[in-house]
Amino acid sequence: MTKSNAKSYWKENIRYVLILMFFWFLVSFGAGILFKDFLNEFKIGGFKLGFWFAQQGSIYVFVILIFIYVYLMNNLDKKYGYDV
Amino acid sequence: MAMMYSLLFEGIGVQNWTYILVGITFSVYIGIAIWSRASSTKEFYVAGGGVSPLANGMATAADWMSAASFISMAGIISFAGYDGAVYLMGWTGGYVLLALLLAPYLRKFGKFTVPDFIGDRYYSNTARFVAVVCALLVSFTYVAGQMRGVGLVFSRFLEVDINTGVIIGMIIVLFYAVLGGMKGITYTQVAQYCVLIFAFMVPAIFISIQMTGNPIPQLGFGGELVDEPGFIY
Repeated sequence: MTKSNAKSYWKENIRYVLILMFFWFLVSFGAGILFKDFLNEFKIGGFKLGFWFAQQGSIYVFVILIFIYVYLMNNLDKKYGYDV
Repeated sequence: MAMMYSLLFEGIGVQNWTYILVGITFSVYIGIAIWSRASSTKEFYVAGGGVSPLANGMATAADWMSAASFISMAGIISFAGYDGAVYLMGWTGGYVLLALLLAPYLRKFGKFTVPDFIGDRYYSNTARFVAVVCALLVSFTYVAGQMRGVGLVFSRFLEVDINTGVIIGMIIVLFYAVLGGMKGITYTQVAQYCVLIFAFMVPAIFISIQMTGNPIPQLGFGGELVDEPGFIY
């Protein structure tokens, strides 16, 4: 592992984390709290959409985010040969 | 013999069922603790690194479904209405922070505890100290809540004072945590997961069927809102 290699690995790692954290914020604080009044005008299966995000949707997204992160990082580790 | 007599001839009362079931779960937990005795530091802190991802996931899930969420979360959400959702999102969202920002680096770093990691990463014993204080503060708050829950459960089951319940619970936890370390805790958590997931699903499904006619609670929850708009607010 060269120094520039480690640097670009870290850069990609940070990029993944930032993108995933953006969605993390969007579904919980965004959809569940900030935009709830707007989203509540829509309905999904009997739920007001904002309410659904606060109660269930955000949690589903959280779980998916962790799976995506694991998948991305495993690939990244392989790409840079850090998977021992 | 008197107990055998009552078991055989008078049926098993609720009280006896409670003693039997609680006795069985305790023997399972303590059995696991003895079976998974830690023999090295690495085993004590990280279970020798040999816990499968599935078992680890089950243990983490059991952490989520702890006394606090099992007893108080449902109450908070039903009483606080929409505002209760912040607990749901915060509680679960924290796991995303943990999985993305802390856990992978801690694992790659090869240290056992968060203060160890912080101290070595920032070359500072002050940072290590701050991390220790934070860890103690968080754990203390958490354990205080959990122990109250444990005491409540024991005081109901064994019909003792709530303080006695807390002490009984602490002795049992101390016993298997000290003996088995992380390995013991992980595998007792796995056993706990199986109990908890069953205990969560059965009432949720049957309440959902009874109230909305839909066996899937997540969907039945929405159905209830259709009939009574604004019911939850």
